[in-house]
Amino acid sequence: MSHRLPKGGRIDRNRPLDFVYDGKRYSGFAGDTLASALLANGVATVGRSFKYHRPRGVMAAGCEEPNAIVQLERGARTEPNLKATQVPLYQGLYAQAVNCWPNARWDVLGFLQWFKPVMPAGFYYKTFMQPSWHWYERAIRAAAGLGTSPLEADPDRYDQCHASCDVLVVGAGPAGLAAALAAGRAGARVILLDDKEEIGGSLLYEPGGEATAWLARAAADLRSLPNVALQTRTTAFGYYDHNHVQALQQLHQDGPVKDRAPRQRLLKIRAAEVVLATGAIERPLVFPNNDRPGVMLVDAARHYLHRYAVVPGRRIVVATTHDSAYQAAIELRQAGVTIEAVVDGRAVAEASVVQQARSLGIPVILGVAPTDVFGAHGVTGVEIHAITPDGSAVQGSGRHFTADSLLMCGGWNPAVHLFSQSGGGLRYDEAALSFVPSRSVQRERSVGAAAGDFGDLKTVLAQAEAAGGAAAAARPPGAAATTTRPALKPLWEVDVSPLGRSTIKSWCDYLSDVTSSDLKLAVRENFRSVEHVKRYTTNGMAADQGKTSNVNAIGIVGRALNVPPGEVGTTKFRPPFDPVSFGAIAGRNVGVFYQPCRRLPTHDRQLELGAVMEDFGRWLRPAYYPKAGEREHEAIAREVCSARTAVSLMDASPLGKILVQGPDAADFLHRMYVNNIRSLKPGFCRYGLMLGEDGIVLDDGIVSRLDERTFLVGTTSGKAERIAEWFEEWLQCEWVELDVIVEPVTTQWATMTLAGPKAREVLQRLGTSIDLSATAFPHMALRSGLLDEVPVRIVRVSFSGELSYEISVPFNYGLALWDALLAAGTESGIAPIGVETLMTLRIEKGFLHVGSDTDGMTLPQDIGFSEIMNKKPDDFVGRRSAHCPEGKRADRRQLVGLEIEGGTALKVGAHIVGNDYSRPPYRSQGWVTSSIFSPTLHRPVAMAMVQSGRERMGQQVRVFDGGTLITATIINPTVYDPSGERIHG
Amino acid sequence: MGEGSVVFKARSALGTYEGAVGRSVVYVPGLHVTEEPLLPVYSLRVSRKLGAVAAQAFATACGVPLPRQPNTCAGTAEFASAWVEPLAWLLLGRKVPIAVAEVAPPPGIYLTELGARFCSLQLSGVRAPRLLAAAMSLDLADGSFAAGSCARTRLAALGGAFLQRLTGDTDYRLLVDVGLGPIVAEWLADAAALLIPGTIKHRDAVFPDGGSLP
Repeated sequence: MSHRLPKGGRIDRNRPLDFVYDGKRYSGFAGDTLASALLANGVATVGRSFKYHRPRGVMAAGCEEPNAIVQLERGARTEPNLKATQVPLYQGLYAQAVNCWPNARWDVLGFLQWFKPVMPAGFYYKTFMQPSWHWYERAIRAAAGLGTSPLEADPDRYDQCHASCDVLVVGAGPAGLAAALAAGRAGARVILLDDKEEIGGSLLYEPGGEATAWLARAAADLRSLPNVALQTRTTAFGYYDHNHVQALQQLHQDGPVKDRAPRQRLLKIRAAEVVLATGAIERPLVFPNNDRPGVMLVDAARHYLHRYAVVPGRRIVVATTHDSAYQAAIELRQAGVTIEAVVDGRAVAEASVVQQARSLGIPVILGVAPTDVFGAHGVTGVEIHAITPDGSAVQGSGRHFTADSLLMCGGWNPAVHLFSQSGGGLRYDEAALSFVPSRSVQRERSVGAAAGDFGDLKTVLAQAEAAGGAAAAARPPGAAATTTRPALKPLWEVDVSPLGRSTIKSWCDYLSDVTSSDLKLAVRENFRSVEHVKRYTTNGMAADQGKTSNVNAIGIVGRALNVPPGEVGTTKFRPPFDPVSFGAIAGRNVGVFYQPCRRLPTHDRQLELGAVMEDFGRWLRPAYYPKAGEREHEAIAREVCSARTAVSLMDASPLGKILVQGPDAADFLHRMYVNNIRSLKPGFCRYGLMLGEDGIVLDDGIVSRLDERTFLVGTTSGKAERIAEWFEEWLQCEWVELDVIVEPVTTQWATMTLAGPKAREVLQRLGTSIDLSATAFPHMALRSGLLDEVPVRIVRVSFSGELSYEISVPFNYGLALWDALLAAGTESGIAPIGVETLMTLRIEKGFLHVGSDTDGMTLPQDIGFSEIMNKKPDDFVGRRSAHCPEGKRADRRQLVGLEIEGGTALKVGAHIVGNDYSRPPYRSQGWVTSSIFSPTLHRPVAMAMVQSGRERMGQQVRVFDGGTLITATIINPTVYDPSGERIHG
Repeated sequence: MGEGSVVFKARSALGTYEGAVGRSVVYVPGLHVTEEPLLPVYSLRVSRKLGAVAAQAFATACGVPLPRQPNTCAGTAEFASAWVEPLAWLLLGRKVPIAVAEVAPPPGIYLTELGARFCSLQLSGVRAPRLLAAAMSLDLADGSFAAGSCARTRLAALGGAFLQRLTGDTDYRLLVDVGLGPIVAEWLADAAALLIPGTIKHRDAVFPDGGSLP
């Protein structure tokens, strides 16, 4: 039977739309949501509950909907766990209910609801334990959960945008519109957000008259103000520090996006002042079987009536404890629906609305509440009983109504989510029976229903205007206006125990499948804090974040604890208010923009040379250069051979460089390094080791002295920024008396490394103004000059173990330098080498690599720096920590080399064990930190951190490598050219 | 000089050689993003012991007075000074005064050439603020970031950037690390294509659909 009225609503009846839900075809109209279209088609059962697979119907009309959870579309565009109330209908829409099979109407797991008595909240902490939880895990995980995540990459695009304004108004209902108008007219830059397509909020379904006229005028006025930006379909979901609010804008909701246009946009808004006009959310009543399909919130029914011309049924019972429900009953009656009765849990209601309802022939019964609902897949009847002032049903007062829908209203909760996220404090309002904003901590104010103001429209508008004007003037929010409210009766649940019935089917949280009996069980099991009750029962933890359940739960828990709701308090509100797609959070930071890498000055040339490029410290660098048919290890072996026998070329521009200048520069660096920097002469360089305050090895690099007051500090590639900040921290916070300047210059200079026995001859061929002879330019010296009028700086330093020069020119000449060196080196057999090759060369030489051979526990004495530290009389950062008792232990792990039996390289991370090892558990003596198969020595070579390593030279150990034990001998790590002849050539 | 004389040519982050015109990254109605290749940039720092007054005296003597307010610029379109930190400024522009390029600063004043460290992009057109809003959280309204303003900020997930609002309606100079220049250009082009319907992305530049390359 169709529930669509022949006229009315804000749908476009000239644009019919077809869609598929749970395998069946239906039709609706443009302007419908999926939920309104299903209701119009008389579909009562739209989903199954999370734990018990109970049939459920549409209960609400917006983001608070807990039942109509759907999986939208298929394939790459499928999206799980959307609320049908928020999905706009479009031609060809495909959706299915989640958590059921084969569909919501006929679910094979529907029998689980009969096991509710043995599956209360927290049952899984007490069952499915023996012999092991893992026996049951797979089946339980398969049975649980809601929708399915897509398995293909998201084809849609998402945008992000920053925005700033003087006044941000969240919510374009009457209060929000009034505030935005006032702020806009005062000249402030205003951004007004609303999650719906049309502004107006509750005014959209006022049946004509003054309110409608005011809305039309307000909308026109707003649009005429150039300083007001209106963003519809935009949900503010997070309120962060310093008035930073984030919102999600739906850009495209008419089916799959075409032409790569963005589907959603994440707005990041910084506002000087914020006005929250987020309205209020209706509360359900808690009584047995209140979750049947056909049971709906009163205001939702009003919403469907006026916006979609859909009625929830033809014979309706309205159950309420609030005056607002009467208006809905009257309007439904006027639309031709039979209202069987308005059953009001209060002994007294507002006389005028009762009178008006009765005058239309609507029976009104006071002091009663629903105690049961009948009909598994749609309401067939409602039972009511008289109730005592504390909500207990009175035996013998039962009455039955035949009905196809039950509407319920247990009161209203101001939507205080964003307010609470901002850090504001709530208080429990005894008159309104809800939590309302009490104390702001940021420049923010709440207006209208969001502030707990449920007064008449005129008063609400006036107060909102005042708030908007104050926000525009950047005046702090004034004291909250107090309005006299009629007394409301708290009815957290209808107690049916006097009827001999249990409350195991009195639903509180529909989405998490939590009943009032679960909440009371939690209290009996001594969970007293509302945060503990939440987590034990999962009330409020589902996708709706407890929008319709939290306050009822607080009331029920309060009764169980015998404390008022204000003392129970609320749980912590956290963003997002409504789910946000990962796509929107990622924005365009996907693909190449996900982890963007810096490019070398020679990037294009590297690609031409066929380099395999990889991310090394967020620089895109060549790993190696395979020739046709070569595998990785073959290419690396060839490149190593070039470096050892001829000459190699590498773009080493990512090496960190920091200029440190000033009369106290030497003293400063002397304090920052383990090494003696003061004694370094101009024109020379020294290897420097830097520690953290905890004594742990932080970084290493070459420190060059350019003149008396100028040093160029080298750092590990990719670390220069952090080290420069580290320097600044010491200079600005600790040693303010030192006269030192720090200037990061990593990418001011391109650096090419020429290494190999023929390096000097190639450099001479290049043609600089520098004397490159061995006597004039020894190892660890620095020289500056010109290369065709371009400044050049050359440091003779080696990480490969060969004669080596690091040649630096301004970055924009880097490509020219590379080309020139390659050309100059052709007759010497020059070959470009990658980072993998460099690592192989340095492991053969036994050179330390911070980060590979060190970790968060490595002290300088572990890597052979004891003598240097002991020789240095002056203090340096980390000295005291390095000499703590732990640092003085004789059995610390020390960096050594390993000579390996057999021809296979060890795996990095393989553990060192003694000869007494037989099987785990066994205390490791250390592990392999670097390992290669040496192309130069034709055997495996490794470095390792080994317990008391340096005292055990020559000792045999075993290495536990992937289940195999391999014999190795502890040796000095320098296996290639131990005398250093080749470096000093 | 040694055996081979080498003639070196400087090349910008986006591949423009010295003397050539800067590349267009975005060229659509209302939005132009163009490279400023090989823009001269200097870092001016002063010792804490001397203070900003000494830096001001030196800079003024060089013909480039320093701005007095944080996050502002002084000077002309051809060469300007920009506040970066209380004791640090950037001097930047095509017409470098001889005093800046060739005269050694007095003790306590440090002038470091950093032109090679940056990739400079100019953004102009009514849509430029909207494009920048996709990347940075700065409030670019006239009242907050007027002509002559500058700031260091983050550029999306790409890293740090320096933004200078030049004189003129909506003209901006964006400095990013030279190593990030290509990816930043690509990112801006991608953002522009998303922002403006009817544009196409040609490799890493955006032009009107059907329009010809400039």
